Amino acid sequence: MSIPRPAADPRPVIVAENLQGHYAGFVSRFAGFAADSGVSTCLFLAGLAATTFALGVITGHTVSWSRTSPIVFAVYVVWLFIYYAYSWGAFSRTVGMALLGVRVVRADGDGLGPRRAVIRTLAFPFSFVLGLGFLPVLLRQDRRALHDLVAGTAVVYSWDARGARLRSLAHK
Amino acid sequence: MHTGAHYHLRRVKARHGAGTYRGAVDPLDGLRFARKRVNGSLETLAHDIAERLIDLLLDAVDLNAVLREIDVNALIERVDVNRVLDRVDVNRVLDRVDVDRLLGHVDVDRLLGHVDVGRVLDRVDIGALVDRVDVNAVVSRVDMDSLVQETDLGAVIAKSSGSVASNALDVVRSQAVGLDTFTARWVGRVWRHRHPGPPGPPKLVRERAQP
Repeated sequence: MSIPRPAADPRPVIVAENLQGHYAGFVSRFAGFAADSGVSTCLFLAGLAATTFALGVITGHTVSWSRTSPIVFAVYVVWLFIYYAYSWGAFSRTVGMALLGVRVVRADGDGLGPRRAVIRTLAFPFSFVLGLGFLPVLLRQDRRALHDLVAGTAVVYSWDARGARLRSLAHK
Repeated sequence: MHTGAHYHLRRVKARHGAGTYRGAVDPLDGLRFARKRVNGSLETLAHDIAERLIDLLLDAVDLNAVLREIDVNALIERVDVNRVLDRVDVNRVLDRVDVDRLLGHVDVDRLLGHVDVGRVLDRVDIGALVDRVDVNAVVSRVDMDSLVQETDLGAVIAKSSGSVASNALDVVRSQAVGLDTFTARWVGRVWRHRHPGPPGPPKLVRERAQP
């Protein structure tokens, strides 16, 4: 006698179960990073413009910055470090990650903490070397990149997919 | 033909021998024997007379008239019903009762009409009844999608959930998660992941599993 197989769930995977706490996939993480790049850059440029304006007012001279200026680049790197480290340490997520509904946690699921946030931020740039640091996100079943493995962190979904579906049904 | 005395003599002779039968004959034995014969005949006669008398009496007496004179209620009052019932084997009586036929005669609707349902419910411990209900199992059987679409719950959610921006975010996130799933499935096929692996960090997945 064959064992009857359960009927296939016709609902899409994203709503067949609530994904909160599940490892986030490559596309969500990459889209979050893209959003963070835009946000951080915009904020940097806004800050730079404000600083330039303020310096112009204070000194009475027009101040301009070159894109290739090492000072600007160094300030930009420091700004990115602060942006990511503070966001991860204080909120477990950046602006881009919040938009995409993901957050950073420790590998066992606990909160991140400032120390691990700093370690993660320091290891983050190394994942961009040939993009190899992000390959484990595709290949590993826990979706952890190089900087996650170094810092002992993981990225998980934090939004309620089922609730979103109910809201969409309610608005139909 | 042997008479009773001749038979008696033969017995004495057999017991004591032929030479002694004259000395063993009790003169009173003859009288006793005769008396027995007379008594037997008298008894038979008396029995016959009694039967005949009874028949005559029964023919002469109007039993119905006699019974009409009897106060049955007084008679019954003198009967100790408990003693009578003690002698009744109730189990044997019940064994002879066809319960199905008996129940077939019961009009259940009329019977229920006499039942005060309110009083029955007053005796029900609702708390104990609810304690036996597995609420999680009941809720898990609720089709939330239909509930939202077909009831006012959807309107409540729509009013409370807010803006176009949050809806747009939901759409973007849904699309991203869909692409995540698609990518993971294809990479899994290429890389031949045999087992899906844990869905998330142990503490988060365990917390979600617990109600």
